[in-house]
Amino acid sequence: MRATGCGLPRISKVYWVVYRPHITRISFTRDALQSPSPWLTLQEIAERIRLLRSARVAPLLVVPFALLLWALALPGVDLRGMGDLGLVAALPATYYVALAVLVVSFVLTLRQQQPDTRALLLYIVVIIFIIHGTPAVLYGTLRYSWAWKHIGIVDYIQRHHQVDFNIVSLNAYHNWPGFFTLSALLSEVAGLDSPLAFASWAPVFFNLIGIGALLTILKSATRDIRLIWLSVLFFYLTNWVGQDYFSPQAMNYFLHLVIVGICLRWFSIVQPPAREKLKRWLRINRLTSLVHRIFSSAAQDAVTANASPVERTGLMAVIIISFAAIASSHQLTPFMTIAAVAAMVIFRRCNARTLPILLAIIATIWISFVAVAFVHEVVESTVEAFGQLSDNLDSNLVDLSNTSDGQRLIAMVGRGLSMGVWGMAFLGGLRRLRKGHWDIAFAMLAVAPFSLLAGNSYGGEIMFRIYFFALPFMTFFNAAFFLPSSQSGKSWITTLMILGLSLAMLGGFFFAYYGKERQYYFTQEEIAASEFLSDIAPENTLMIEGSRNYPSRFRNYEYFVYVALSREHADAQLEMIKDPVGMFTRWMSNDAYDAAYLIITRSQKAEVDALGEMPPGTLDRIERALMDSPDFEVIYKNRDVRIFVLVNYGREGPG
Amino acid sequence: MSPRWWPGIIFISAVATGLMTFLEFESVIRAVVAFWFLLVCTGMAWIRLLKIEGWLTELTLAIGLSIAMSTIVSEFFVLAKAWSSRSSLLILIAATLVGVLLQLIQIHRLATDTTPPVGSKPEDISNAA
Repeated sequence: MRATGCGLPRISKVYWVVYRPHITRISFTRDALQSPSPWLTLQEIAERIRLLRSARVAPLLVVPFALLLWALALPGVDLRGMGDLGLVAALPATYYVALAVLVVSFVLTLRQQQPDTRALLLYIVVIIFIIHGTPAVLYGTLRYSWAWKHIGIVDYIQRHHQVDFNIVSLNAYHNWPGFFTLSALLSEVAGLDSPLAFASWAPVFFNLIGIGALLTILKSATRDIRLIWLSVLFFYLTNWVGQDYFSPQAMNYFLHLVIVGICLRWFSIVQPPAREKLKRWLRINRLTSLVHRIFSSAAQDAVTANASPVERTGLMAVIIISFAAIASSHQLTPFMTIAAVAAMVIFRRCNARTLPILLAIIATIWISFVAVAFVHEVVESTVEAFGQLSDNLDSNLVDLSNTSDGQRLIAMVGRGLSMGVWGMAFLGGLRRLRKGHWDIAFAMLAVAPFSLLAGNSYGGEIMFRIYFFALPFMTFFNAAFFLPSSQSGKSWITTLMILGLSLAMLGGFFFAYYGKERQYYFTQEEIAASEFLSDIAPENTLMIEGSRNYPSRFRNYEYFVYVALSREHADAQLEMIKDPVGMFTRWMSNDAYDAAYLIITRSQKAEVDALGEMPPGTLDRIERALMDSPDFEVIYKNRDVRIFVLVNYGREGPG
Repeated sequence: MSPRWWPGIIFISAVATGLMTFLEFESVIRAVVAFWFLLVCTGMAWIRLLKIEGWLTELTLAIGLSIAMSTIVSEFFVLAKAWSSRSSLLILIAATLVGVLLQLIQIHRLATDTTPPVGSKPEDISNAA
């Protein structure tokens, strides 16, 4: 039926001509263009829609649309109005729509016969930019208090031109200073005073450079483009643990992925071990057959890249140089890397058999000759903690009984997301297995980080680190749940399920990642107060702080002794609640210090109340009591901060 | 970007970074060039020699090597209790230029080499001829 009659849809051919420059696959035949009728038939419209769908035009429409929505969403955000759910409740619906549109478009692109990898890459880049660039754009200040402490180490290096292995405060950073020396180098060569100018963008940077490393790893396990890219999407939608900020672990995680990627792509064994050799070890025929089958399947699945002996030597040099940087920059990552490489060697996915030993030697040299002071201190606690699996596990989980309702929800969503990823990875692994893919290397790499649980609680963070290091392989199995083989997962039902899960992951990610932003966000007023305090305080000053969550230790940090009220024992906290004036008079009149200040900030209150570190409103009550006391004077105040000094007790005032 | 451009781009970046740093050029361009050089070029000068397949993989390895090289060089001066961004930069520029030189030699050898690659079939010889 022709669409030329009255009441039927009519579309001018001009429309298609206008769009022609963007459409790579649509071409107009001479006949069509020379047709006497200016209108298209329904059949022609259907044909053009089909062509449009297969054309690579979607990203050119979707990406600007999503960016426009994002840009429109930002001006309306009231940062001061952030509640217990952080940015989650503060961001408008258009922000979430922007990301949902990108995720939907990404999943639909995966449905194409030959998914356009440039489009998929573009979507991932924009998703990363929106998710991780939003705080940088909105805040205009560096978020997260630990990032400020890292700035302080760079400041120390720039002032002293060395590190102090025996320093009391933040000594781990002085014993593994690689990331900080690099940051100091970048700042000075770029002509900047400090890394503050670029540190806010570190999450965007580290996530972006991680794409290539992830792809290198994933391409070693399969040739299925859909599986590779869905794994990448899932990785960025479930990487909620926030280890991507301006920190040594973010840099070292990237280098770790690079090393694992090189081993899997260029040092992979493609031949299974000989049956006779296996039999000699295993003795039992059935077991030998099973193991041989596993290795044969793994060898078949392995996608390796060709390299000449010279190129392999060069790649080995890249591994060693990268690992040397890791070993000198972070305490934990070297062990993760050694565990990962050892797992690959043991399960014959890496033929550089001596590599784990070489890496272990490099790590040992650093620990034995450079980081001696730190290791001496922590070795006792590590020995004590070794083998206490349940204790190390428990110390990672926040006691939710004291937290606010919002933070309880945030923590539960984070835990649920992690459990979901692990559970689904298990099911995905089983589905791959049923299709004949053993993926033994990825399974081992997903499990290898758990070995660290036996060693140390790592300041209550080890579970998050394990999740973080296992995530690339877990998300591969998550994606494999839907796409276990290149022939499966092509139905609309599967697409809808992927879409549903992706959007659910995105929703969970918002809560888990953005849910603590009320604490992590620092106002200009807070930074101004911290700068004031750092500048006026003389050496050997006692800094009493409501909690550690505020911009601190970023300038001259080694001159001061820090005491956080939220970290005091319960008895001391009870006493400070009962008689704050008496207690702080005693503390701040201590002659061991040349000066003493008490600083209470908005972000400290937000953290203390949210995490239940002290009874709600404790810092407000302390603040009021000190303001009412004639013994204390406010030497600096703005709407977010008050800084107190003790007066009338004989010590000379500052400056 | 044509592969043949890389040695030139890396060379210009190295020289520009050095000049802007030592002449204390105050501009946002200096920051952009410095980041580009320290985070991409120092590694790319060497990674190009390995003929990695795929631009994204090559770029990723280059960034990884750049970060690692810059970290180790700057850390060396800190451990020697004589940290200096300028000395670190000089060493990195020198290392980068050596890589560029090797790239040029490799390009020259490939251009003049008429022998077929190892493992090529007999018909490849006739094609090469």
